[in-house]
Amino acid sequence: MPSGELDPGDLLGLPDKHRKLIVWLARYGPASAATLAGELGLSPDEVHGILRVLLEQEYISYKSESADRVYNVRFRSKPRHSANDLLNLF
Amino acid sequence: MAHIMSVHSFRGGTGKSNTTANLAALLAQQGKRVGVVDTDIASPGIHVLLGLEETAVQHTLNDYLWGLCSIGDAAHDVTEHLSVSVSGQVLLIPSSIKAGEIARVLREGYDVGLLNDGFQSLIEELVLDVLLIDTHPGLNEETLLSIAISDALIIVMRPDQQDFQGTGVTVEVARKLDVPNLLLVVNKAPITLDFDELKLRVENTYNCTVAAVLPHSDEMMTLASAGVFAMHYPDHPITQKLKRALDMVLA
Repeated sequence: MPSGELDPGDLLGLPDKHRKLIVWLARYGPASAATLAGELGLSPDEVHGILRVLLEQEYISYKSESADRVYNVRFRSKPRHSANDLLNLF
Repeated sequence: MAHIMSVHSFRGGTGKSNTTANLAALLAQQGKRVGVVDTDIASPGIHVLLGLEETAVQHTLNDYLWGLCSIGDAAHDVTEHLSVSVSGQVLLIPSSIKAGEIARVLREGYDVGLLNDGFQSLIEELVLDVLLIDTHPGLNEETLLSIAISDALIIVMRPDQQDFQGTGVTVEVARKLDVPNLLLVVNKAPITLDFDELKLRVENTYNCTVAAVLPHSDEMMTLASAGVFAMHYPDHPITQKLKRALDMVLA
């Protein structure tokens, strides 16, 4: 998986639904939009909107499997936040 | 689906690794297959509690993060070192105790995504019932990751003003990350304190359940990390409290 732009510290500054989606992927692994919608209680439109934003931020990426896209989280290879940075993210 | 539990403290010296080792052993006594990952790369220590000698270490978490081995290659079966026979298993992924390797990690950092992939791979490869993550104290990228992916977070603190303040930060982070089961363990409490009052005060301060108040123990200090307390003292009140705490963690 190529390096993305997400540090774990970024999670604290994300909107709730974006954070929950990222945490779900980090915990359970790659998933389709339909799976994410079902697991997180989101509508298809909501989940696609969130995925679009997270893709633009390079916090997630996808692979095409059959007719579906399967999404996964893309952590940055090397962290950039200091401890003080993390505390300022609240 | 395996249960992921992280054991964390805002400050060092609270008894986090001791708590992790004891929980791992108690889970193995219940017949569980338990993976323990020492993510305290800067100051590893749980391998001492679990009886893994440096000469017996084949690969470490460091080797995995540097792409030198698979995560499974770094798993060491420490079950026989528990000093009592258990029906389950404890598999430890230690961090390196070599000064040069610790310095390298501190200098270069490591790939957090790879660490997360490693957690998931461990669960699958080793067919774990429980993955216990012994975290580095304090707030950093790695501890945030562990907290975020955990089904249960156990925050260990002492009844000390510095710990009180720092624990508040960790509780806030855990709430923001929606950790499903958040529990506190108050450790090393002087026996002169009213434990019921202390428990209530901590619970009211953080609006969070205290799974156990563990007293300062001369037996624990005398054992001095030479083994897992619950295995050496199965009938001790501390062991009974840890068992009840474990029930709450698994609930």
